[in-house]
Amino acid sequence: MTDGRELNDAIRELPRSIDPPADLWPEIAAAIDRRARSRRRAATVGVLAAAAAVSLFVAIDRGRDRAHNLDARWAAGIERAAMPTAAPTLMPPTAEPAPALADLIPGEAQLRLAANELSGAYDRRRPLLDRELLAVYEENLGIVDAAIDRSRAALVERPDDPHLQRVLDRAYHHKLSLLRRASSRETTR
Amino acid sequence: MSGSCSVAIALAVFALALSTTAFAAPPPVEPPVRTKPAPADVVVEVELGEVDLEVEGWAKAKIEVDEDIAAGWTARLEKDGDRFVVRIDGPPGIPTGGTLKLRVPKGAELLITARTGDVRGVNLHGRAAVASISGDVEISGPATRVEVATTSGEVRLDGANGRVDVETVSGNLALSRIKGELRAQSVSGDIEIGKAQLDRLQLMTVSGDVEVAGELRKGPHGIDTNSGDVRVTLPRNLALRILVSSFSGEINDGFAEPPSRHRGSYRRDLGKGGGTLEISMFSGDVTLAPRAPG
Amino acid sequence: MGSALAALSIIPPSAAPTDDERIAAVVRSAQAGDMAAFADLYRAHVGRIHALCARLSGDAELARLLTQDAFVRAWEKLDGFRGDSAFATWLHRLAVNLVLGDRRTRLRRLAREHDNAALEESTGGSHGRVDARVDLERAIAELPPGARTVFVLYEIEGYRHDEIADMMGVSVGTSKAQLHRARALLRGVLA
Repeated sequence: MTDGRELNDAIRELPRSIDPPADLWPEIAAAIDRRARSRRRAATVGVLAAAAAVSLFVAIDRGRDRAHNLDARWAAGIERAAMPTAAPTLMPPTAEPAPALADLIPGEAQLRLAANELSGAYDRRRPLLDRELLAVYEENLGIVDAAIDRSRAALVERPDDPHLQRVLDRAYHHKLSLLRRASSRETTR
Repeated sequence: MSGSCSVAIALAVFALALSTTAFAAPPPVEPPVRTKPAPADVVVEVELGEVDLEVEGWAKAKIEVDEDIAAGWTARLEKDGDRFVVRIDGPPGIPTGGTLKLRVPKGAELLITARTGDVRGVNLHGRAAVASISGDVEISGPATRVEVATTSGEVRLDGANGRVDVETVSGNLALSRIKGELRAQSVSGDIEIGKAQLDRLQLMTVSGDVEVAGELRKGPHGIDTNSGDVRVTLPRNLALRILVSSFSGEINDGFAEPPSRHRGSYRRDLGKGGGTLEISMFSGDVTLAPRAPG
Repeated sequence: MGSALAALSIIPPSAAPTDDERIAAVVRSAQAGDMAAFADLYRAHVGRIHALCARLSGDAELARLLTQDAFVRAWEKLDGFRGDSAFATWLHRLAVNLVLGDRRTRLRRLAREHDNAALEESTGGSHGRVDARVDLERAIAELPPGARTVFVLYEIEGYRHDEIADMMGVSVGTSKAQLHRARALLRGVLA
């Protein structure tokens, strides 16, 4: 097979369809189910974090006229949480189990708040991103979110493990860094 | 008779020459190579967009710009205060592409922004800072300071001697013969470091794999990953304390006789009096391997 | 829940929808959250997607994971499919983008683990055309990643250079150069 014609012939012989050695559907269906549950959890956590943020800002800004700032921050949190109809409230929704709000590492609520705000900025920037770049960010945000999820789940089991606390802290660091990049005018097009 | 014939032939030749001159297409206009004098440590800003860049450090005290880019586009070399700016200009809406070739004093400071364009730099001895989105970055030469930030481009560095900072989202990093300090971060990109001689190493990934081969002195050094695998290859005679913490991954110690496997936390002391390398991960595997003799 | 494709197939011939209409109906069912409909789409397309992933990644295990990821991603992005192109085209492009992004992430790790096994498997005692095909598949898998990607997308999947350049974030010239390189390497290996 030394000349171009023979190579072309060989290419034409290649099958366009090759079934995987085993049926992948059971794993795909399970992955879809896992992600759906994870997103529902994340959305709830986002709302709760936003609610906590509102409480914090209300406390800080009490007596000051910074209402539109507050609305913007609230909107950022809600937008990421994909629950646009939710009304601002100072109390966490009662449907969510209380432990979801508990900080597993010092300052986790602030980290979540910062992530929610950056997520809001990213969501507003998303329509301007080209498809390939968007795919990179979405894929990697998924990777980071999964890392946060599994680190948190392990930390719930071993809340005093300093190594796991560090792992979770680093995962948040990655998320903030990634969201900063994804929402920046300079690093998107 | 012969005289009139000669005149007729001469007229015909003249007419033919005239018509050829009048109707032949003008020769293509090659953009001139532009050169400007510049100090050895000049600052050069380059805005690439979609165009690739080949930049070379040379011993001359001047900047040279050459280009092979899409029709209608051109590279402009302008002086802005004490720095030079190279910018690709062209009509909006028309796709660009091609290669910009740049020669700068080898000690120049380069500040490059790119979108999809690849950047290739050789013989760079000064500072090189590259911000890119999806273009690949390849830099060689004993640069004293290298900073690269990219979203999905691959990054290859060879031979920096000073401080290196690289940040990526999904691009792979291949960094070899780095001396000094190295900090690299990725989400899913792999990080591969070879022939390093580092006083300070700091690596972070989420799912990207990490491979480090070389000498780690002083410190402290750190490798953090969530689910990536880590492989560290070191000379047997290096003095270093290695501390590994992994939630669910496996720790393989090739320095042990025979090689051993562990889980959780693990410590391996090589020699005495050296620095510390701390490896922290969630689920990835760690392999500590002695460098093969020779 | 029964198969949406199967249900559609019992419509009487006089009212039988075209293939495109049939697929569009299944896609709409899947977009409405019908997992059985999505399973039908999976079964109809898994071979093409798996072949693509296998050739682009050059690794059997990675291909399996990428194929799974492609369908999970497709499910998540199904709302964004507006029917401007054929579903197969949309899915195919989604898979290409996924592999191009993911190749950089996991290829080396998995390649390290599986290269030897894959090589051993592909050196079985077959002859003639099958042998040539296996040799070509193996040679493609061993191409450098950039050259392999362009070769597979251009020669096997039928993308144009400008499309490949767009997907890979390189220039058209680079795509052509990579194809030239891939073909030269393949001719050299298979000579």
